[in-house]
Amino acid sequence: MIGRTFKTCAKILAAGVACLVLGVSLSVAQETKMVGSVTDAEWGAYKQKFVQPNGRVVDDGNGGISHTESQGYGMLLAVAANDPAGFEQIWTFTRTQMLLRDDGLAAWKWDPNAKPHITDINNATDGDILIAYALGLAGTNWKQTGYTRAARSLAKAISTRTIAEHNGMSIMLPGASGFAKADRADGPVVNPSYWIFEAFDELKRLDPETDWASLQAGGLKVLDMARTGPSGLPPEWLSLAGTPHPADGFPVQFSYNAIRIPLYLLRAGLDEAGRLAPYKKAWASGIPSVVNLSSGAPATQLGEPGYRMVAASLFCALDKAAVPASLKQFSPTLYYPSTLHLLGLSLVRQRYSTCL
Amino acid sequence: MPVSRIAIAVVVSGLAAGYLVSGGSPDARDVQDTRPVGSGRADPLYTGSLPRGRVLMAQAEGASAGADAAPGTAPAAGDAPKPDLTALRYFSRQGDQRRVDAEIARLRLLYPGWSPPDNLNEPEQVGDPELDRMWQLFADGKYAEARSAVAARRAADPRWTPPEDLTARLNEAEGRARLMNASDAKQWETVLQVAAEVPNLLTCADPESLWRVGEAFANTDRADRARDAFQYVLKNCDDAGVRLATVQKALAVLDIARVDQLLTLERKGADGKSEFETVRADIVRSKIGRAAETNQTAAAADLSMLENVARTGTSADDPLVLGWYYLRQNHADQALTWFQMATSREDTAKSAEGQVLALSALGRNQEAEQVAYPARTKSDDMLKAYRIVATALLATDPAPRLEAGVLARTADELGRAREASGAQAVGWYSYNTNQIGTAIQWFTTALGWDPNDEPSAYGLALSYQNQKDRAGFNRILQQWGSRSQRIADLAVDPRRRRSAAPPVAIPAPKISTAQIAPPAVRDPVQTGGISGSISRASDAIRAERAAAAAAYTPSRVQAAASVPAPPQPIAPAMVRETVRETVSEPAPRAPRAMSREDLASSMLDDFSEPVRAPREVTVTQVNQPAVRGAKGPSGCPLARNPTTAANRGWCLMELERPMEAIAAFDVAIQTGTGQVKEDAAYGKALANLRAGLTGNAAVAATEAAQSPRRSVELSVQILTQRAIASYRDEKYAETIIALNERSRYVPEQNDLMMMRGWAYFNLRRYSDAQRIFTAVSKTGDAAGMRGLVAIGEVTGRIKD
Repeated sequence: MIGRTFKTCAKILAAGVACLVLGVSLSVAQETKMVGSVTDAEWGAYKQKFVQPNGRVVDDGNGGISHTESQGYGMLLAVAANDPAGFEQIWTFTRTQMLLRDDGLAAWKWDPNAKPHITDINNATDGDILIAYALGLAGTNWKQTGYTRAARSLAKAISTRTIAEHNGMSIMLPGASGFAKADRADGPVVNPSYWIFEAFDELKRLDPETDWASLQAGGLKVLDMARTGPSGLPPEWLSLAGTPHPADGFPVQFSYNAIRIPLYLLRAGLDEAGRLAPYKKAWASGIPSVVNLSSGAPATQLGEPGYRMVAASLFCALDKAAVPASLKQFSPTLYYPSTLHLLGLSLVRQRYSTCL
Repeated sequence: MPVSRIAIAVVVSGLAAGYLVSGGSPDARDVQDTRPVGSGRADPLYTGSLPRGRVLMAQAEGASAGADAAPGTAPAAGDAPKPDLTALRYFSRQGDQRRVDAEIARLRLLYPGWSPPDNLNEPEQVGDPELDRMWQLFADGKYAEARSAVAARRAADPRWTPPEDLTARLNEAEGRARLMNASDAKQWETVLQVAAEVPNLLTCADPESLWRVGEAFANTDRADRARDAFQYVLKNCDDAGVRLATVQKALAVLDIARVDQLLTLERKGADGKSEFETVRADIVRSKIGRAAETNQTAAAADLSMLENVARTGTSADDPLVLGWYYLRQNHADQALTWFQMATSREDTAKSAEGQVLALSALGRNQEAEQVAYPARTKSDDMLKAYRIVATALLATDPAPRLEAGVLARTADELGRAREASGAQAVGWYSYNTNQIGTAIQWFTTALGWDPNDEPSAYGLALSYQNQKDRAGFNRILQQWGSRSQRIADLAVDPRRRRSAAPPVAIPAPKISTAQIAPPAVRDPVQTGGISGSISRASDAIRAERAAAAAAYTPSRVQAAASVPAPPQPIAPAMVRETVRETVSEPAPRAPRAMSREDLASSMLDDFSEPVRAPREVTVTQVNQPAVRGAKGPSGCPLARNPTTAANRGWCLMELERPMEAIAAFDVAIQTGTGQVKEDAAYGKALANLRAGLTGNAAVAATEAAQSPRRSVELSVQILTQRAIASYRDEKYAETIIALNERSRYVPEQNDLMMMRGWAYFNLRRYSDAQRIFTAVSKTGDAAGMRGLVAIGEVTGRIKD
């Protein structure tokens, strides 16, 4: 329903007509609302723990490497915390160390223990989207045309290099190489959690020539097709060859990647209950788990506050359930759940403040 | 050249001010901000005024930017901007004399005629500790923090903008970091983009950036621009170490011709020594390496220098370079010596491969196999080389005497390769050593891997005939008769078929079939058109196995000498030729119909090099009627009637006077009839051929109806010459066309196959060339191997 509305709206937008009347938030109003949705204290603690003085956002749960995802999350949270200095710091590192590819995309991984630090020149499309999205917001919010220009060229590179057509559907390749139909026997392979739905409005503003609305629609369709096994949850990596199925060579699991999907949907205002139902069912206890998709049985419990915050955000959005007091307080654990925690708090403050 | 001279002139006259003026816009974090305002050139990346490095970058587009841009870069004397002294004052107040000196040097380069004020240490009117902190962060290389401090202050005070100098210096420092990172990640376009955006990097103060830019140009097929980058250093920079390193860097990425251009900028020291003396060996090594790659002859002085270095040194690299060079120069014996030296110093896949190729080129396939076998696991190339050598070894004629172990392992490895050519080779070896049952197995296997492998079908047909297995033979005939003339011919008259091994049983000691038994054909789909025959043939195979087991004699295959030699070489690629000959001339060793043509092609140069044109081809021996009668001044009979005219023509041909012969034959054609006229037209065509007038020869051949045999012969001759002439003129596509036409009449022998191979090679149709060279090398002809080496080197280089 919302997806359809959104698509119509996007078409109208393309024709240059404002879309707010249709009731889907697309505008600067939402962006400015995001600014300030993370407190100075929260962001200060996050920076203290994960952001180095040189602007590198460290994934401490992953051998201390950085990646475009961590840099992109850092930049997005800096916007949410209204911290232009922190943003500039992280962007400086991102640009000089990672935004190196000839095609204008960023190399996805930066390893402090390797020399040169870039050991794999491939990109990760969600990281590029986060960076472009954050740059676009920062350019508008702080009136920095340099950010906007950089955001625009990155958006165009994402469009050129990672959007593909499959069975009449617009899909996002997780990387410029290695995932396409031609690259793998079970290609194309997608990662359903790489669709950062909230970014597409901004990307459309930056690069109106690309049909981002269709990419969004493709992402929603991928989510519907990705429901696997008794739980109906999506796998981390999905092959779209033939009948969609978990991609070869990856565990058939719902896991760390896919856990952010409800968060991304809700942050984009895509709160359709049917699409969120499997997550709600699986997280009824309030604590998400890794799920074996063949059996539907939960495996490792993901008990860190950040993961529980994702569940709390879902119950808040669907049932207006109050966010537990323990989760309203942010204190950093590991990089990834801490990031999800702040994105969840930011979401609830923007859209569902009654849950607080 | 003029462009770069102007470029340098721009740099040394310091007309760089335009950049600084435009480079420091308040929002200069974005690299695009550093672009000067455009001056109307089409390419936005390189528009506008072009200071120093920017000129170098401007040339990247191949536009005549230098000449146009140079005047544009000179601001009128009065508008020369004043240098920003913030950094200088800051460093001076800090007492950082090293940075003060560097900053003064930098500003002097940018602003000729400027000299530093002498009140540097006096406090400025108002202190700005926050800005001082930003400079300190910059000085400490903490660029992200400096940026962050700028952003924080701008957020707090929207009216504040950072000093242009700070922004420009941060842009440069970050640009440099990004350039190095992109270069490390081999993102050459990004390297060049950054260099264009931050051209002030490209000065003698930062040779590393210049080298990286040169490397990026070289890796994006802009060799002249790459040379310009290195040339810039040698023309403008004085540091001896930097100059030496520049030559070494250039050697790694530039071709020899361009390196030589750079070497003309060599300077002589006070001691009279040339500055690049110490890297002379590197230069020579690189030159010879390149000569090997491009198959050019290296200078004798260079060779003897490197040979000395190689002999006296301990490194395996120098002998390796020499080995590859000599191998490419067709001095396989010398190559072998160097490869052996390299191996003795460091036993690597490359040194083993070199030895194997050299031995194989010398026709010493057995030794090559012995070296290759233990080394085959060292690299994929080595494994390929092993398989090729093994195939060539087995296809050698006469069949070599092989240790049972050697035979077993070659068969095993070729079986593992699952390529029809390898299985076919084992098939022929078995056939040649009179192990017909085993041959049947291998040919069947080969057909399983490639159902269209006609030589294997032919081998199978011969084998069945030999075994008097009429059913087996008929199956092959049924499947192949319409596709292969020679297989069809086998059925026409069994007496005509080549008897590879006499039907009479001569007790040839055998290796057990088990030892060289082919692997089972695993994939039924692959057997394709012959799947039916496989199952039916299995009975025969079982029978043969039983027979072989009974006749088992360990250890050795009898040398070819004691097995009655087949009348013709049996190497697969030669088989067609052999058969045709046998069919048309059943008598033993009858003079071959193609003698002239053979002669012509025997005079073809060995096509072992891709570029060398074959020598002039002349037709010397002609099947000609006997010459008799009155003789003219030339000693040849005078043309009194058509017959004597023709005789005169033949006589003149013998005297190598083809033009006169043409005239004589003309008389005979015009006045003669019947056989005389036909002979004369034939003679005229041959005379034209000898004179190199291929086109005329084709016309002459039509002046009288020729017998089918002569007609074919002439066509073959004409097409051969046409192919040779085209090749000589480097018209490779036409060479192929001529050879294709020719192959409709007669099979291609090795020298022409090599010509075809090199023609494909020159057309960069490497896979076609590889197919041809492989086929030739499988006949045991080393020329094929050399072709494969050349392809390996070229395609290897492309992949690199």
